[in-house]
Amino acid sequence: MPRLDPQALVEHLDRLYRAAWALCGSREDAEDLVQETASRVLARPRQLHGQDELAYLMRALRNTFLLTRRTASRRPQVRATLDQVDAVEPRSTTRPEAALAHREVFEAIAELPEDFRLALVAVDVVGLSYQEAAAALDTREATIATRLHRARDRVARRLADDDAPEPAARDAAREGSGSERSLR
Amino acid sequence: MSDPMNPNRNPIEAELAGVEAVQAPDSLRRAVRDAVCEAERVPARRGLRIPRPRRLVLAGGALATLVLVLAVALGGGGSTAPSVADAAQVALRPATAPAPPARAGGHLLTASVDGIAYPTWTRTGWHYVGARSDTLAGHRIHTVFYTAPNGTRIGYAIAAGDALPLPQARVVRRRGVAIRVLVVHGATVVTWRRDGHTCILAARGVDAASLVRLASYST
Repeated sequence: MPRLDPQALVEHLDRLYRAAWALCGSREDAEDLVQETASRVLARPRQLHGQDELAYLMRALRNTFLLTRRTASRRPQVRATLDQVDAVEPRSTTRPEAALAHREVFEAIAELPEDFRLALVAVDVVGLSYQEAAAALDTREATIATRLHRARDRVARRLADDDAPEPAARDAAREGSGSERSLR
Repeated sequence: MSDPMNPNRNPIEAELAGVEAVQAPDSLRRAVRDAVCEAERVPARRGLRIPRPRRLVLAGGALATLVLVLAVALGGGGSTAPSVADAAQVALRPATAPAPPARAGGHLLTASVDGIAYPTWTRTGWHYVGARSDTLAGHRIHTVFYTAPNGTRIGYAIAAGDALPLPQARVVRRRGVAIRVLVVHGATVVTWRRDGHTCILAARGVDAASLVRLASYST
């Protein structure tokens, strides 16, 4: 049975990082998640069981995400008091407006309900087929299609609605005029 | 925002196309590459046992020498040492080995790096629980992990060999030793030098003052 080539982690690192950012909603947590996933995957030889390498890694990322988040939720957190502490290696970008747009997209995805988020990340961010995504997420293709459709709509609405009125006001306006632009 | 004329069209296609330009940061790339190299090390050594034609070995050796000479000549002999931030990230990873036992007397563990022994810290409320060893850009980093009763964890890493470059950070002095305090991807990190070696404490959910206090016990 074919085994996962560890170099696949390097080859697909950018995709995994984007997926992790979309799952976690922050760059720092994304880095931790990818490192933790790599550490787990490399701990022993992995058999692909007929999966594509990228699909296998997506599954590993998702499992690590769920596991680490549950572990973290059980652990009491002590709030760090980091007054007057300098950040190291400040990130810079030559295109701050692009960086801001990327962050907004990832944050919008990260706000989705978990099942929707995983479907969107698997298909739209990682680039898996519906069939591969269904296998990686332990569900059916039809379920992936449904979750993906709803997830995309929610993200589109979130990105478009930044300056829009609150939902209650919007619903009232829709009922009143009937001419509001459809966001579905 | 589905297109009513084409219900299969992805309404966030443009936004997703934009984020495809996002790449993993260099620190993460280095960490993953190092981990992959480490994982592949054993199979690579096995591969060397396969007999090869002598001339290929000689040609390979000559090529390697040439590459080394060029690297030194063109690279100006620049340092390839990992940064403190890189080493701190290792200290935030999970333990891969059990904790070393304590020495007689109870203040130090049997584990040490180039003569610098790890403390037990038992009187401070922290308990040694595990260890791991990594190699970053040729530097061996040994880490011992400690936990508090509430589950928070500290990694105490010592880099073998030459000291790592000093990071830009806030400096506090304890017992005459400069302890640098910084934040690396949300984790609190303190670092100092002892006997020419870099020592690092890294933790999440532990305040900087606590780490500095623990560091001062270990200088």
